[in-house]
Amino acid sequence: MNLPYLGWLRSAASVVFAAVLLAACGGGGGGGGGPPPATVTISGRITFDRIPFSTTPGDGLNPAATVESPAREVTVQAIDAGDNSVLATATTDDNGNYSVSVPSNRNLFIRARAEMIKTGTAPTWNFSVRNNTNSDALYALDGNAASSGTANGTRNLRAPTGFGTTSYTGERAAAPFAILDTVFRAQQLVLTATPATAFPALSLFWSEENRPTAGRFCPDDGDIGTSSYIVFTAGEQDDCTPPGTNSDGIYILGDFTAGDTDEFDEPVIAHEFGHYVEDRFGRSDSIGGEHGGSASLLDLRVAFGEGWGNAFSSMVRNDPIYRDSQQGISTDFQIDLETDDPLNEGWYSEASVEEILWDLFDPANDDPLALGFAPIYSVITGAQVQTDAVTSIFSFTTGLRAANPGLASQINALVGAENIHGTDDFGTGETNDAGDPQILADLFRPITLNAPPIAVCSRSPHGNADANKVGNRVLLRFDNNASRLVTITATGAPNGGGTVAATDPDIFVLRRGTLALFGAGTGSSETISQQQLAAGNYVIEVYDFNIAGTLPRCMTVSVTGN
Amino acid sequence: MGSSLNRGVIRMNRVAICLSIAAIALAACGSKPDPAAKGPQAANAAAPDDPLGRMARAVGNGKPGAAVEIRYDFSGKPAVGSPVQVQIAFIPHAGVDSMEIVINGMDGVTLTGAQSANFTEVEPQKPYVHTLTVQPDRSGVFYLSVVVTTQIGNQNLSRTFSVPFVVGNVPAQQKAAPQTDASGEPVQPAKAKETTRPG
Repeated sequence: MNLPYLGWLRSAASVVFAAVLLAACGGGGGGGGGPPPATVTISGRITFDRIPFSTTPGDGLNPAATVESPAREVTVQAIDAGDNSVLATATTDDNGNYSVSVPSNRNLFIRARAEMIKTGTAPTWNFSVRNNTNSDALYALDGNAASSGTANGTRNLRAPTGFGTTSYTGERAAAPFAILDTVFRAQQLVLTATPATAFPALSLFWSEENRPTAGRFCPDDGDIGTSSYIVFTAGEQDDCTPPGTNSDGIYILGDFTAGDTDEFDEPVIAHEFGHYVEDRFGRSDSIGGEHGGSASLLDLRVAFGEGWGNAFSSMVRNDPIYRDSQQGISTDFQIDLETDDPLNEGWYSEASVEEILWDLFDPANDDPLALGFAPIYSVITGAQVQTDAVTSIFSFTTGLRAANPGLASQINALVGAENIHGTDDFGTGETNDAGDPQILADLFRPITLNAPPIAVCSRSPHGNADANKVGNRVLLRFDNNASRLVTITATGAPNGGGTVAATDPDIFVLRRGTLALFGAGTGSSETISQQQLAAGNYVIEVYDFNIAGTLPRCMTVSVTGN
Repeated sequence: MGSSLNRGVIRMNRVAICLSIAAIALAACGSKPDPAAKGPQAANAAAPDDPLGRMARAVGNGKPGAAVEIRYDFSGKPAVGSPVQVQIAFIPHAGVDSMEIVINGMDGVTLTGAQSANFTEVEPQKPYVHTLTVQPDRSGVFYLSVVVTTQIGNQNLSRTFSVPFVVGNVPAQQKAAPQTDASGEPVQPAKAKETTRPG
């Protein structure tokens, strides 16, 4: 039995007990000349101070405009100041209000925990904000110890930001509750589509020591790289001394001196929550890596994942402008999802993806579509999960058209305006070649069992940082009509003038986003030898691990079997 | 709904392939580990004649930001009272038109040299090196804050990096055990501004 449940039982028991007592006494909380009541009610409001963005783009956050905001749906405890036992537990409402029944004349304090927990009947959730540099301690906000007295009382707790004139000078009590409040908003959006959602537990790790350290990942020390949603592999070790393992969750920057804090950057928190949503309720085949706006022509899986993150963030806030404060909190940059960015539009552009998703969501203004969130979310959690291709703008729009056949022409127009023309999950009919005809020719190129090897290349017309740019990796379509032993080989070999042989081909065989087989050793040839492959439609991903430079790095690929 | 178990298999396999990949490299917003995103210890090392070969790699994945990576190299071991040069290479990715750099230190570190720089009409994958001098005033673990703003078309995107360095022999600090609540769970309470109406 977990503590919150215990707390609820205690609270419920207290309420029942209080009701009995009130009935016996003919009233509660003071007055009258009889003995003091056994219990009294303490009520109040839990709030936090939010530093909003300046109304002037580029000016960062504006501490002079700090807003007192309700801490919604957070756990509140009345705690005995003597032995720290929990006397009563409640949850704030959407205005931050709470009420607990506690023993009279007890020295106690009120604690608001930086957590939202709901168990029992769906919807359910368990979100918490913790300090990764302090044993993952749960953040809380404590009032002063004082006697509960003999009459009902009020105790309001307010979490200050700790920001002075130009920097933080006090305890940053508001930060965890600001983070949690963005989670509340994101959760509410999901619930509009699926009211009975059971949210898997999610921890959000924030520390005022969390900094974007270059080349080292050690959450215990605050070295988190950047704000990210991370799912670790079991046993995966960090760069701490000694190395350790870490908890899954959203890691959030907070070191003001280091120059980048995100606790008040709602767009950033909501973006990362979008990845949690996609990961836990949908499917993401993104390989991750660097992505930097419309100039980055990305692997189509990355483009969709990051475009979804930004679009989800805007949907949560109902604001097409993504902003991220920098240099302390004194500046920010913006990404506008409503204004068309004409640079490098296509199926490989996160900007195109986020603009499409936002235009599908928002009211009909510059486009005729105004679907709202539910139809979009339905595809994210439905067709996207089931696609035999990979998660991309192709699979998304195909699913959306199938679910909304009456809107097909308008969807096509919206997508076509971003220079995306594929008509199915595999992009059939696409004409946008990202500036390299061979990239399009190799996109989901079929590969046939026991046919002669085909030649493909890792291409870098738009860079290869993190090997996640368009053309870096080749996705081949393999329809396996029966379960059989297969051998898949990729061998480095130039393919005509102006190309070089791949020096370290790697192979990944994917079935609906799940890795079925892989070969990722070193050397100029890679073989997956005599491995059982169930019947089904697969995507075989091949690329040169040593991708560098601008010349295509080529290999031959074959699939053989019985 | 997809199977998280299956997705975990993907991660496991790719991480296993990645050898010493740092978690930071896979941290990109919900992304899976990427064999290409390796730390400085990775097998895919730069060629001997690569001027960046001896520089540690700074992976800056995650939330949207400037399409740039940085590497850095200290000319010697930083010591109290001794100036040491640090070279920071900024490597823009494809599509970046220009870069603006701002570098800041922290208490205990004196920086000499330009703390800002502009690189215009940059070429992708080409390193643009900025050098300045660092003089620590005391022992400890320090960080340089490096903010890179890239211009891409009409859009500016920023990314902040922290460049760590250690001065002197800094003993590993034992952190105090966190406070726990009645159930034994670690908690970190902050003090509220409280208003009351007593009962």
